[in-house]
Amino acid sequence: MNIKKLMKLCLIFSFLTLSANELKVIGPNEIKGLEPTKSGYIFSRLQIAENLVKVNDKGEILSNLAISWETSADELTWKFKIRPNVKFQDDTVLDAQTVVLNLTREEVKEKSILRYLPIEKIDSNNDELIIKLSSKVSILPAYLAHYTTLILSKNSFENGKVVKFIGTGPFKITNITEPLLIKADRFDSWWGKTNEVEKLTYNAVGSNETRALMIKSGDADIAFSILPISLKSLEKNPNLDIQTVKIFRTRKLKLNSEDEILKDKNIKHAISYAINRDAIAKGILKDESLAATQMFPPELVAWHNKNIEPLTFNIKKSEKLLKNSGWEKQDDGFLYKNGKKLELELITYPNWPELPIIATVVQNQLKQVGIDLKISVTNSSEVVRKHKDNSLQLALISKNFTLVPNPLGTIIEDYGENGGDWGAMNWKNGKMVSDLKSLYEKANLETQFEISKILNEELPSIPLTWSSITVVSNKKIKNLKIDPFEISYNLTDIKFDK
Amino acid sequence: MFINIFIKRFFQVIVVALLSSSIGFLMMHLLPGDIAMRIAAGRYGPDGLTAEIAQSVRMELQLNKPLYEQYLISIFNFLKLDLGYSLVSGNSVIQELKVQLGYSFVLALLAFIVSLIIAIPLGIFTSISKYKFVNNSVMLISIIIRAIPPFVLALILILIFSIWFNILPPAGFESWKNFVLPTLTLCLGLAAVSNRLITDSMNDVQTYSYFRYGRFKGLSQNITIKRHGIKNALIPLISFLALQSVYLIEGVVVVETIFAFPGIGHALVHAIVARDIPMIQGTVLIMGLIFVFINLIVDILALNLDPRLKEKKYNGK
Repeated sequence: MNIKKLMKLCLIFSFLTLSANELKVIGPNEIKGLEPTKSGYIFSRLQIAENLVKVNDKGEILSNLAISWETSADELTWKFKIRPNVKFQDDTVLDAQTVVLNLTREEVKEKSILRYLPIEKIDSNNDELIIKLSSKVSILPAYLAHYTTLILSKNSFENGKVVKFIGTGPFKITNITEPLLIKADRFDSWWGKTNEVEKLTYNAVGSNETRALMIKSGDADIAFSILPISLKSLEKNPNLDIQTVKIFRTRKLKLNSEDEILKDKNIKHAISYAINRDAIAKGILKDESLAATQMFPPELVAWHNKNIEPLTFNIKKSEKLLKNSGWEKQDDGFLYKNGKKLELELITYPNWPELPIIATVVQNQLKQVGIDLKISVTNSSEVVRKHKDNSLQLALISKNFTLVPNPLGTIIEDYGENGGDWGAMNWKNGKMVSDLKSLYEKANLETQFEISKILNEELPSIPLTWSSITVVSNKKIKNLKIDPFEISYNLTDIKFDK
Repeated sequence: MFINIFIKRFFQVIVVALLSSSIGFLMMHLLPGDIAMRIAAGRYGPDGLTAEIAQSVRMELQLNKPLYEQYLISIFNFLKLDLGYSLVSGNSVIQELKVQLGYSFVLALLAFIVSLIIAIPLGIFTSISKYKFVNNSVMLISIIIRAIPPFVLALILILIFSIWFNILPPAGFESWKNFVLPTLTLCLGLAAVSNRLITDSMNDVQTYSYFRYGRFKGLSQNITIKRHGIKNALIPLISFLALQSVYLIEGVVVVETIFAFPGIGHALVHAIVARDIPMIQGTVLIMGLIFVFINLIVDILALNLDPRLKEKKYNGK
């Protein structure tokens, strides 16, 4: 081969390489293994594997790997018809037996979202998946959109464990370097519509500053979860688009309703009135609309109750409630009752970097009314441990209500009969229990609004702010749609500006 | 001679291995907090963590067994050279270390070599320079660079090379270009100290009689430095560089986090947070072995450079 030919080939090769529609996505989440229970949310967002159902922006359940579903007359048996002619990325064909294999693995039974359901049996019949329940669950399909129920090829498993990640999605993994890198190519036999992204790279970049610098330098095409602190410098860059979308996650104070101090309802409300949510939202989150007036944000239309008294900032009311409960301010500015100072301990964790900062603001705001708040920044597991051994007073946490796309799935875990590790603690409300039970069997908008009302009146947890996610992308990326349910990055909708 | 050194270091390896494994195990159990919950938090994140799932992890990993039993199993596996599986990812520790150690090793080695490339000529030049301001300027710059914490230095370098000049990627690990900024971050801190030591060492050497004799007998300065200066100046430097490897390991942890680099430091930090005992034991063991290996190299080099050691140290005189 002469030099001219070689140069021509090089030129063609470099042209082909350049013309490939490559997309580099960066986000904070690291790959913690191949099991959907551990890292399914990354594989789901990158559309490498798919669920039986999916959701649209409004939270409506749509068909995906299951094309339709129906329940028996007693609503205890559900049948899901599996989509025909769907291929896995190893060219095997999706069938109901493979779905059963996925949903009945020990790991899935014990650690997936399905463990909350009263499932008696999961079976198949021809092209149908059959799930038998021991009691009614009206929102069962929503559970099947959860990342822990992703469907993989039978060749993905060895001894019931995932050893290769082979899904049905539009992208097929070519290389994984845990915990930081996934490379994938477009899967041309995908059953859905074709898409423009040919090669995909996902880099887990834990540091927000590095993510911001990567998108600014053009080293990444899309950066997820950019914190407000970095936005100012990115907003000035003409090559970047910034989208901020509300997500259904609420930052709240989890509290022990049987704690010696907090069992007094006045104290709970006094704390709530003493917190200036607008200041937190404006000062830290740079978005005043995130100040929570109740547990669920307005975007969660079916749960946000417009007709209830909003949670507000009112120092006078707070002080009055504290006085009514017998707490008197002394010279040091703190409240005392029978010689005992009003001291509370709050724990939080750094998984969401804004939580420790918000905790210090709350500490300062409560000091204004005379409450001495001690803060401990620790591991997130301490919230669960202290809930379990009943040693928790307050915890500042961030809770996603739509991991199961119908919030009822989370609400029932958090505010059901025995409370929840990330919800109510030592709090009981008969009306709430009966409302949740009836909703579990049959959806009802009025009952949902009633639940929001109870949560605001009783304050088993004190909502502080709602949440948003900011995504920065290069201007060459068009039609990037942010999923408020954080299930998918919608990469197949992306167009490249040529 | 060399056999003595190898035997000495071999016993050191065994002691390091047993101690690091035992200390790693005990510390993770003595730290406050529930170990099963920490592991579950590491695996499933706060959104997926519940007391019930932590209990399932406890049963799966047999964390309900008495501590002494868990310790004996851990040591027994360790003696079989079975490092086990990560409690978080489920991958074998050897497999994880292979990937992560590979990246860290290349990064640390590059940083070490580049630091010497900068420090040795700079140190010698400063030492033989007649101008005081050269020495003062180099010292000032060295102090400033060493005083900047690695994570700040990393961000400054990203700003300069990735944002202003846009010639190097700010993070990642796929191409050679990704190694440049982490290497610079690490090596600048190292070189800042090493060059000062070389300068001092060279200054000392120049006052010795053998060096002055070289000059008196008519050798040029360059030849005197080459024949009598560098070798003698290197002896204290080598021991110092072995100690500096501690700085390198410390720097690797920070640098890997900033540059999203999949190294052993990154793995260790995450393993400690998640109480991933097999990963901690494996990582600490490897780091311990690296230190022993570095000391072995230092011993051998020192022995070659300083013949007096052959007579004194290892002949028991």
